[in-house]
Amino acid sequence: MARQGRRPARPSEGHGLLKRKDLLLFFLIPFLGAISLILLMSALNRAYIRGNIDALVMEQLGAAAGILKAGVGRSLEDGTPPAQALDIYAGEGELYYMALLDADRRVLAWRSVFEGYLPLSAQDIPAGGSWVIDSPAGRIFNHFGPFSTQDGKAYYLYVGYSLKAFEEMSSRSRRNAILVFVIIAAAGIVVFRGLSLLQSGYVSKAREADESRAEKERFREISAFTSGVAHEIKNPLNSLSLLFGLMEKRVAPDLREDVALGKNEVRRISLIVDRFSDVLKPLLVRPETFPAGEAVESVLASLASEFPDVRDRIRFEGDGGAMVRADRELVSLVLANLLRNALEAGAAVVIVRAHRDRKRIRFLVRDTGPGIPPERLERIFEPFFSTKAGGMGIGLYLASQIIEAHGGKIEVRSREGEGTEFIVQVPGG
Amino acid sequence: MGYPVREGTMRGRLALAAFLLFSLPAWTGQAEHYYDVDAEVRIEGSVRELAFEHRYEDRAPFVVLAVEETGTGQKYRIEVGPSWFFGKDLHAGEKVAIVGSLVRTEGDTKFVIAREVRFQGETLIVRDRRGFPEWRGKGAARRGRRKGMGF
Repeated sequence: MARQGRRPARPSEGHGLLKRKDLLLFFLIPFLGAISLILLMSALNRAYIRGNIDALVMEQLGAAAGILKAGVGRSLEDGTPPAQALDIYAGEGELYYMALLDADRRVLAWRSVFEGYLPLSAQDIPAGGSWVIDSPAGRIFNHFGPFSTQDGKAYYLYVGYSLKAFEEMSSRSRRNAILVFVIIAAAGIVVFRGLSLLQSGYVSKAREADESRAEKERFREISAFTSGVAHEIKNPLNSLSLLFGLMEKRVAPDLREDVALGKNEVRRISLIVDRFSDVLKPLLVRPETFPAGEAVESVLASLASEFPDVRDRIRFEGDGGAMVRADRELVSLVLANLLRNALEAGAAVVIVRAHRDRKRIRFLVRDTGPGIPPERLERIFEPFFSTKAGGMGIGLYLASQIIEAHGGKIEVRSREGEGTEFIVQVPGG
Repeated sequence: MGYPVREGTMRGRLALAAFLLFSLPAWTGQAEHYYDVDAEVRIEGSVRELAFEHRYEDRAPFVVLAVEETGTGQKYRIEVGPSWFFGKDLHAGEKVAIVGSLVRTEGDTKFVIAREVRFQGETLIVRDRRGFPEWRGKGAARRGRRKGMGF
């Protein structure tokens, strides 16, 4: 499992965060209101247009019926039989049926697109002679009106025109309105969802920033306390160190060993206090350009006194000439921590690699030690957390702080029984 | 099917009906009758004969029932609809009840265009109340709406 060195959290930009009720009040409700208004306007508009179109259609079809009357009248004047006079208009546009009646309203001839269908009923005919009926084939405009031929004979003509074309226009308009509504609604949902996600993101970041601030504040408190304690301890420790130094020269020979032991212990305590103080000091990075191999070599040399077999167990591979642009001392401290941990864990072999990765230098420290359990791996970079008995838990925390101060990255991968691998990235020269 | 057929063979008529049905609609040459909504009648009687007759130009043959009215003995020729739309076995002697439009009388026989035909406990709706043929509108896909009870 990879674990990255933690960057200092930036202060959250929490000003102006919207509450859920604000989102509802300032976005959702106005949006729904706008949609409703658009629908209402569209419906009213379509109803108005539909009403006007209906009136226009009635007028136009009435005029068409008048033309038919004139045409049929002329045919009758020419002596054309009634049935043939109607056949002239066979296949005429949307004409569904027509009938010629005499002055007594008896059907002389009729034609229809549908078998036996001529829906002429005395009960349906209004004063104006035009009306609309519904049928399974759609709405049908009907006209029943008188006309005369030149010889004075009176007739009636009954016609039925399909309104399917106009119905389809209306349906199309309705479908378009629904489509527009669906598109606007979908866009609104996407926008609202986006705002909601943005809001969640801000809330999440604000929470993280708050937690980070709280953690920093806690750390500052601990640091202040620890600094005070360290300062108080250092003075008597210095005195003790001097005292042991004097005693070493003056005590009986058989006690010198014990005194030397005491002096070493005092020095150890002092080192521990120094290390705690190092953690608390603000890091000051002084960048310089140096070869990666040199840094590794200097660390190996410094570890030789602690681990005499260091050069047998640690192997350097990769590009020793890769130029690093960083604080040499701090980077060396990081490498020393990583290598010391590997050796103290009992790794028989530790491989150190360095190579350039675009503008960065990657150091890899891989050991064949016991590995780190997953539950401990999560906390490996936390201050005062250690996997070693007697460890202070400062080394890796300090390493992560140093690398972050350089704008770099530190990761760890480990599997129990298979070893551990640290990857450190720092700026290249 | 078990009913007597007046003209031609069943298979040939059905093939012709299918051909004409799926040809483009035309301004049909009409028989001398149309469905008159102001001349509706109700008839109850028994089937004497079932025939296929060309009633409309360029259309498939129609099922025509010869019916004798119960009680009065009045003879009727009832135009029902295309054979493919009728789709039911009907035998001589079966009881039927018809709602339709009386279109004309020839001799002692009255000619009726049916709107509803009730037989064997169900009702076949052939035309709507204004006479629109069900086989030309939405009813075409349902092969004639049927109701289980009465008119």
